[in-house]
Amino acid sequence: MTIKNQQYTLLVVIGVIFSLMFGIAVEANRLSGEHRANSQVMAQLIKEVFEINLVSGDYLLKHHGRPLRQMELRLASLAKLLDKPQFSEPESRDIHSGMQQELKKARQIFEKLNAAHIRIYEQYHVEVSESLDSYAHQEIEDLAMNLSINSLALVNSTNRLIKLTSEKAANDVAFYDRLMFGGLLFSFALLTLSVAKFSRRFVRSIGVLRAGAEQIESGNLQHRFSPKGTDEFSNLARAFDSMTESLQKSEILQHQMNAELEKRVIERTEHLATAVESLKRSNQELEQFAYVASHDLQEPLRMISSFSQLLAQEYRGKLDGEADEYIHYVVDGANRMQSLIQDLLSYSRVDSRGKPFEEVDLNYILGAVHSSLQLQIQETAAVIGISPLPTIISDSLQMTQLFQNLLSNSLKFRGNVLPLIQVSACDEVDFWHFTVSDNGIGIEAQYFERIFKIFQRLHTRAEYPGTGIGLAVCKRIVERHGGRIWVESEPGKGTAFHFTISKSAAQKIQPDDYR
Amino acid sequence: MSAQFGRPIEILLVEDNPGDAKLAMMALRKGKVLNKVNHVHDGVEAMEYLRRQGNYADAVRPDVILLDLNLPRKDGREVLAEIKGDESLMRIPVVVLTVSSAEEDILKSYGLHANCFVTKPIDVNRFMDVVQQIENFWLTIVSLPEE
Repeated sequence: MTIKNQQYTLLVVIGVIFSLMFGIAVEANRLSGEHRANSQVMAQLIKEVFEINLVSGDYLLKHHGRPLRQMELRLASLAKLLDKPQFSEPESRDIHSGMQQELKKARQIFEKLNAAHIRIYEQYHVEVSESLDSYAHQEIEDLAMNLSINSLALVNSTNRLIKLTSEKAANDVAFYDRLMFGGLLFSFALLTLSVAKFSRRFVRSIGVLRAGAEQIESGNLQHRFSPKGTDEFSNLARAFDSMTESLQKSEILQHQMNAELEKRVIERTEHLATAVESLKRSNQELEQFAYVASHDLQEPLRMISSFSQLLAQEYRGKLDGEADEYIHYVVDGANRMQSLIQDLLSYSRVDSRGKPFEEVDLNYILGAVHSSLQLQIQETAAVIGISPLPTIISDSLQMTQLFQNLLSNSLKFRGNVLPLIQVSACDEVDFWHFTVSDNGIGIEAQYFERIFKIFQRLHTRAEYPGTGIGLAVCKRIVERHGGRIWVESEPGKGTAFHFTISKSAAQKIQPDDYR
Repeated sequence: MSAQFGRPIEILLVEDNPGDAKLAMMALRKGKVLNKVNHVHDGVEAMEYLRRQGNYADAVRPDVILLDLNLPRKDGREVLAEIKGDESLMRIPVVVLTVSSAEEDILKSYGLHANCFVTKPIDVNRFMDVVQQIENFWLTIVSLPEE
């Protein structure tokens, strides 16, 4: 049974008890009213009875007609009085009906007496106002005596009735008092018991819930209350159980997800480690290739080149013209091959042979680049404007290479006007943004990507010499410095090369294979 | 200087590539200084020559050594290390003459106390010129210790 229902039941029980007690009080009140009314009647009754007794005594003394009239009135009023009271008690009722019998008998005696009295008056012609003392008659004496005795019996009965009634009233009061007291005591006991029972149940249930909550809090998600009851505490415990169930489920899910995540991280790490390993191997192979290229490939080439040159020098004119041409192609091809190998080597060395980054004053670098390009600058009468440049964390040799490649490109691909070249820098917070712009022949937009690929050329060697390595090396250098390079250009108007150098990549990217 | 005493300058050329060896010898033949070139083909022969072992028991101590780095059997770096680690040979000037321009080779050679490092020029005339300049520098300009 739920606590709410139990409380309702208790209230109903107490309500019933109080209703009963109210009923009892009403009944007691009614009874005491009845007693009071009966008592009043009794008081009048006893007065009348005494009067009758007195009047009958008076008659016996004087044998006068007036006491007889009084007696007649008293008897009538007594009859009226005796009709009034109602008695529930059988004993009182018996006495009451006894009294009515006695009254009836008294009236019969009175009738006889009255008749005797009138007869004597008529017999002796006594004046009504005269006493009958002198005409005393045994019959009247007896009748009056009987009446007196009879009235005494009535007095006696009345006294008994009064005594009985007051006893009854006292009993009733005591009974109802006890009933009321008992009712109150019972209600109080019931209330006290219920409160004690409820509070014990509260304390115990809260204790169980608290202990369970502490277990759950300490991580024991296996804990269940599994209540059997249907009351509020059981419902609360069930709610706790279902909460713990959900918690446990979500924890299991979380564990699974964590495990899955961990597994994936391990897999990814292994994958990454494999990739790094393969990258290292491929780098080593590249280095090996670079070494082979720098030594073993160059030796035979040098031979071809050297001896074809000697052939050309020492046998020019001694063979026919066609032979001279062939020898020229051999020399030219060998030289180009040599340049390509050198370029490939320098391209591969951007990463593998890069220096650790250090503070580099680009103003100084540009000064050095300007000096090394002095000859071409003079030949082309180019005007090179260099804005103040920052000091950046970078590889100084590669910075030199970068600016030298870009400036010599600008000089090489100059237009028909006086070459104007501008170098500038801009601080973009996370990186530096550099621009090398010229008023040269420009590049068509479709080649903007291609020019940065190794050995890609847009012109014949006859127009512009070179292998097509310069911008590829520039791109690799910029990327090693955590930046990017791009071009803006319009054919016939000029070209602007832009590149960025990261300020933070300098700390991160350090060649670990530097020897 | 030795040359002034009328005896030809002794040059030890350590070179495995016959073409390069021929070019070097052609250049030295055209040189200003009377010289005798002794050509060995690898590092092992070079050390035998210097220590007068085997076939080289009668070898003359060279005034200068032209050493290639890439050699069969024992390579130029090992030869250089052995010469510079040998009390009796360490004072002979060693010119590293190689096709490599790799920085690690340059650093390594000087680290092993090479006296100079020269990259063979690609152009044949430049090459001849460089060889003659080496000869000139080490054999006429520089003062070397007597044996």
